Amino acid sequence: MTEIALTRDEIKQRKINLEYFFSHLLEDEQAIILKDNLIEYLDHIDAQINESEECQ
Amino acid sequence: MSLDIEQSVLKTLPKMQKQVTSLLDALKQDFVVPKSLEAKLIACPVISGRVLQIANSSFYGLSREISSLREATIILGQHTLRSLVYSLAAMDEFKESKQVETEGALNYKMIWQHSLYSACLARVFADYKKLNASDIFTAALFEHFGILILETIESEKIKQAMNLTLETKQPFKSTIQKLTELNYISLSAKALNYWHFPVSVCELIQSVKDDISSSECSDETKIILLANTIASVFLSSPLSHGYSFISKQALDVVESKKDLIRLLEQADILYSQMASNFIG
Repeated sequence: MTEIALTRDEIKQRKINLEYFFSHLLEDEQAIILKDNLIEYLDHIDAQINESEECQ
Repeated sequence: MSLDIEQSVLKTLPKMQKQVTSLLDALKQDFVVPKSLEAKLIACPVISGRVLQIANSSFYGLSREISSLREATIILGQHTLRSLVYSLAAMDEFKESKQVETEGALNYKMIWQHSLYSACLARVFADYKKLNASDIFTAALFEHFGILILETIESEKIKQAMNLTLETKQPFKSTIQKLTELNYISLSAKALNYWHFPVSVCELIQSVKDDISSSECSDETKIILLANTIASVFLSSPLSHGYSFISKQALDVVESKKDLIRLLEQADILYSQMASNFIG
C-alpha cells in the first residue's frame, strides 16, 4: 500500500495557509503556476486517502 | 552590519556537553578509527540513538538495516556522519524545552518545523538534480538558525520583529535586521562555522543571505530558495511573510508538474519520518 504522509486535517490546514500566502502576492505567471501545482499536489494526496479508505 | 555585534553574539553560543564536544572534535579530523569513533558515540547516547534511527530511515535509502554504531560509522562515512552529528548536537542546544518561556515569544518548534520541512524538500530536490544532498539538507536546516541565537540574547527585539512582520507583512529577515542590525542568515553561517560545521555548508548558507531572487545563482541556492518558499506556503509561521513574487529561476529547478508532485510526496514522507528524530 502507498505510504501517505498527510492527514485530511493537515491537507485542509495547508490549503488555508496556501490561500493566505498567495492572497498577499502579486498574481503573476510564476505565482499562478506554483499555486496551481501545490493545490494539485494536495488534491492528489486527498485522492490517495479516499482510495485507501475505500480499500479498507 | 556591525561585525562587533556579530562577534559578541557568537561569544554567547552555548558550550556543548563534554562528551559531545569530544565527539565533535574527533569528527573534525580527516580520519578517525571506527572503533574510537564508536566509543565516543556510545558516550553520547541521545545523539547516537537518533543517528541509528535516521540511518535506518528512508533518509539515506540504504538497502539493509544498520544494527550497530560501528556499522553506522563505516557505512555512512565520516563526512555524512559529521554533518548529522553536528546537526543533532546544535539542534539539541536550541530545542523548544530549553527556551525561556515568556508571553508572546517566538515559538522555537515552529522555526524548526519550517526548517526541517524546507530541508527535506531541499534534499529530494538535490537528489533529483544529482547534487550533494547532505550539504544542501544541512544548509536548509540551519538557514534560519540565527533567529534562535538572537532570540536567546535579544528576545524582546525578536518579539518586536515578529509582531512587526505580522502587522506589516515585511520579511522577518528585514524586521530583525532593522531592530538588531544583524542579518540573521549570515549569523547562521557564522555560528555553524564557529562550531566547525563543514565549510561547504557554511558557504551555502552564506550564499542565500542576500535577496537572490532577482540575480543569477547556483542550482544549490535555487533549491534552497524553492524549498523555503514551499515551506512558507504550506506551514504558516513568521517566515511565511514578505514574499513579493515567486522566483522563476527557483521554479525552474523542477522540470515538470509531474516531477514536482512526486518530489513533494517524497519530501512529506521524509519529513514525517524525520520530525521526531530531529525535533522530538
